[in-house]
Amino acid sequence: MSGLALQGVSKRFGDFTAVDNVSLSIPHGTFVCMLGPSGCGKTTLLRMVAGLEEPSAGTILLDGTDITPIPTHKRDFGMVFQSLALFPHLNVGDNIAYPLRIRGVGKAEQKQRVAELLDMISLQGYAERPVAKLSGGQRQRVAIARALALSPKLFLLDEPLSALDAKLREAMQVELRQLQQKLGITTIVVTHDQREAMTMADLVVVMGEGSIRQAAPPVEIYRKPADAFVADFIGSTNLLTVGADGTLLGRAMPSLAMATRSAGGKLSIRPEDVQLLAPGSGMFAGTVSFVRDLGGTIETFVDVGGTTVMAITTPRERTPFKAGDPVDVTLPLESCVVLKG
Amino acid sequence: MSAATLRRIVFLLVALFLAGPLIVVAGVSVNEKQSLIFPRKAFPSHGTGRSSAIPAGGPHW
Amino acid sequence: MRREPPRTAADYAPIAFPALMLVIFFVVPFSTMIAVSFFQRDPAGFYSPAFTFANYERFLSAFFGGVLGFSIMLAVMVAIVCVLVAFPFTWLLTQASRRVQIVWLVAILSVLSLSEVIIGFAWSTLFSRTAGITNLLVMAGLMAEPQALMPGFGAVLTAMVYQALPYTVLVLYPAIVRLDPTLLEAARTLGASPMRAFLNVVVPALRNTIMATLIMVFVFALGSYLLPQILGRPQHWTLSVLITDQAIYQSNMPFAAAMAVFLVLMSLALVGLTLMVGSQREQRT
Repeated sequence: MSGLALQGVSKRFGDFTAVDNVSLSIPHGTFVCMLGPSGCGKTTLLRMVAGLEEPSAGTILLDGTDITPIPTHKRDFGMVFQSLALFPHLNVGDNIAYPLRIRGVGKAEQKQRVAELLDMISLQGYAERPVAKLSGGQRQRVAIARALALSPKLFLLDEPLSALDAKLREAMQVELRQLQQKLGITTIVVTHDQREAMTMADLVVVMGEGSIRQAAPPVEIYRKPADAFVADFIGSTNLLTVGADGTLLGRAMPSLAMATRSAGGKLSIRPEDVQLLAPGSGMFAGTVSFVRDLGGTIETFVDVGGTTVMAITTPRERTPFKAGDPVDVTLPLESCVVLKG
Repeated sequence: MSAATLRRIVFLLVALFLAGPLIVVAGVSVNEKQSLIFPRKAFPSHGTGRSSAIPAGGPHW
Repeated sequence: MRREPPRTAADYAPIAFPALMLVIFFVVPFSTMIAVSFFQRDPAGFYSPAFTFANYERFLSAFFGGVLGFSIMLAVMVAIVCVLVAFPFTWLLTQASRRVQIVWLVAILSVLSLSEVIIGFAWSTLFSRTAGITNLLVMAGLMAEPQALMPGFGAVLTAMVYQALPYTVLVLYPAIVRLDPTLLEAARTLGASPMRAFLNVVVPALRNTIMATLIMVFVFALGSYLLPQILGRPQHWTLSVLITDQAIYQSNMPFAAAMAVFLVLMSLALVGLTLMVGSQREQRT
């Protein structure tokens, strides 16, 4: 099999199970984002791929070869750490040349490769700078260049952009994705920022409590979340409970009864799919409880028989409601996702 | 050699080095012969004679 | 925090007490010593005020040059051995669990409570023929018959390293424990074996700490005057031993003071030189 494959990988620290029986296969050239709240085991999983942690159980295969017993320094993977881990005693050029020096690459070749890499990250002429004199974004690029210096088989990044401010982070996300597409390198990024994952990834792996909750392309994750955890973690959503007989928000919905019988009876609908209509013309009658007008979008919270439903509209669609207005809510059935568990 | 083994060996050697004199002190403290005299009353010469080590440089020596 | 230069006399008030203490316990005794070093010895009693360079002239000889050279060489060796032992040890210690670290640090602090006299006495027992470590080696069959390992240079060096090692570990520990552990991991992902990563990353990243520790242990070892007497032969006596001898047993205060001043100046000069070389290297990289 071509690519990276995790088979039943687990990691336990004493009584605590950080990663629980994870299996996943990643084809070559894929950009994968491991997404999840802190403590969900995503960083531990990445560190096991890098060889920095030893799995308690399971195997990690690269192109069909078991790499679990191979020590980190023989794996030929590039890794960017959350702290970036640039060597403070070396200048930019020497930092990038470090993996080349370890491999015994000749001085002239080192110099040429460093120039190429600095060119790639648009920091031409920075080779002699001390690392301490760089800005956050520049250090970020240097860490990326150093990790890519040997054209590794796998490019691993652990929360690489978390130290940057919001604007720079968005720009770097785009840059990182473009770089990965240019190089065609298999990349795994660990992040807790769902926007970051949606921007960059071919495959989003949502993790919770040590196991994979869903692994799918970003749009599918958003449109068809597998369970309540994923639906809630990715974007904002309305999680509604469906009764055993198919009642939703106090109204019998026979078509839902069939769909939810086998599952746990939860339903997710994205706020932008919720329709707000004049009283008497929609599915459910409710009252507006709060309106958050953000300028670009308007979030309207509607109380329907004790349950709050949020709808997101744009100002162009309609004039905003006021709190206390009566309103009818319609949930288009084709936009509702029935959730497992 | 694994990192854990190396660490154990280094820790053992340092522990032995640090503990050696402590064991001696502890052992002697329960010794019945109380014959140790510290601090020394006179400048020690180890029987080699100071004149051979320090030249007669001047009248004050 | 707001930092602005002090303007009125009252702004200097917080440093009055430390300054006073420094004057009483450092400036006054040291000045006295410098003054005494120019005095004349009074053969009948103590010393009489004078201004003479005779005390300094006296040790401008091959003999004192040799003793000074040996003292500095010994202190440098103690410093190097201490750092060579303590640095890898402390680094391994920081990798251990919190509980192990605490046990070790407490043990090291307890070794600090041993005085120079007790250390010298304990090692002279351990190095003796009748009750020493060679008896253990004989028991293990590694040696034919027990030997006395003292007096000798090795014995002096061992005991002085023993004395300075706890300080070395305690000075290195805070700096090493603060070192970003991902630096080492990064080096490993970039292809360096753990040993190579340690030498390439951990050691250079802590270069300034190592330098400072070397200087501290050097100065500390320079003042040791009991261990060379207890464990060494006369040729292993340091300048500190001779100073003690002159001051206490020969009652030649002016000469002892002159030697002490000279020792202080020499060690200051060496420390200054080391720092200068270090900062020049810093600028080049």
